[in-house]
Amino acid sequence: MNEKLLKSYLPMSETGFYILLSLNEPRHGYGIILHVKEITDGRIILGAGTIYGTLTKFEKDSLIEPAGEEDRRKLYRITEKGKWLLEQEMGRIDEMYVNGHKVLGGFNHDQDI
Amino acid sequence: MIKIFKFWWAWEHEMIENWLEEMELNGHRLVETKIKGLLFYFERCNPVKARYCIDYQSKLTPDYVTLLKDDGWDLYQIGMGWYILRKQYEDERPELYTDFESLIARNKALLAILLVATIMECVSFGNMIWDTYNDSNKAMLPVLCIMGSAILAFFSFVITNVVMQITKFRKKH
Repeated sequence: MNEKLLKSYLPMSETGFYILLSLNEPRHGYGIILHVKEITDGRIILGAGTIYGTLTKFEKDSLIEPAGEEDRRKLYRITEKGKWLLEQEMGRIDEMYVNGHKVLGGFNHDQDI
Repeated sequence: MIKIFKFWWAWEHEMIENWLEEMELNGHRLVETKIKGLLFYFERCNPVKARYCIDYQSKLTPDYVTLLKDDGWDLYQIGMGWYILRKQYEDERPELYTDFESLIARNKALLAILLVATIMECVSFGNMIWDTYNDSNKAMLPVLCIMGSAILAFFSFVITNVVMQITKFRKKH
């Protein structure tokens, strides 16, 4: 089951990564757009169609689950399975980061990890 | 009120989106569409920049409607699962889909419906042709065969175009 998840989701798109990350706290669709815009300093502005489609897919794969309602808007939160997937992706990014700096050299960033 | 008839296929949605945007820049705002999105009604307005997007949803859910409203889109119904969305903007042209993955997923959903329709068409025409064939009066047989082939050709044409668009998105992705 988990092998299947890794195969279909990794490497993750930035879109998928940030949507999943935003659901660390219960949020509705538009809340995710605002949150991602804020934490990426306006670099990523997600389209509403993209959010809707991704949330539907994530819920079907149990990466997220409904977490009640706010002003008649459906809230979502990340599941344990979703968190596990995020960790796998972060491990992959860490590896890329370390290897990249090893080759380019001259940086001390890998000590931070 | 201005009435314009325009024929278009689903995969030519970008052409219609750009045309609607140009109309609004020239002071004509979309009011509604009729005949499954072939007849457009416009009213005079102050020229503004507005992005139009054509979307397909197999089911219109309250979640979809609320999210789009929150994000500043107006929704127009075309029919058969098609919608036109409009959002006014100043600087950056807004997009409804900001990744190719969701565009591919949307086209795949469309493809599934088309395939089911094609199979249903084959079954119903096959039945009709078989019944006529077994009938003593075979006068309708050629007509049915020609009609059946024409509809089948049309479906194949539509499916080919949707598949080509998915391939195009895959390449960009």
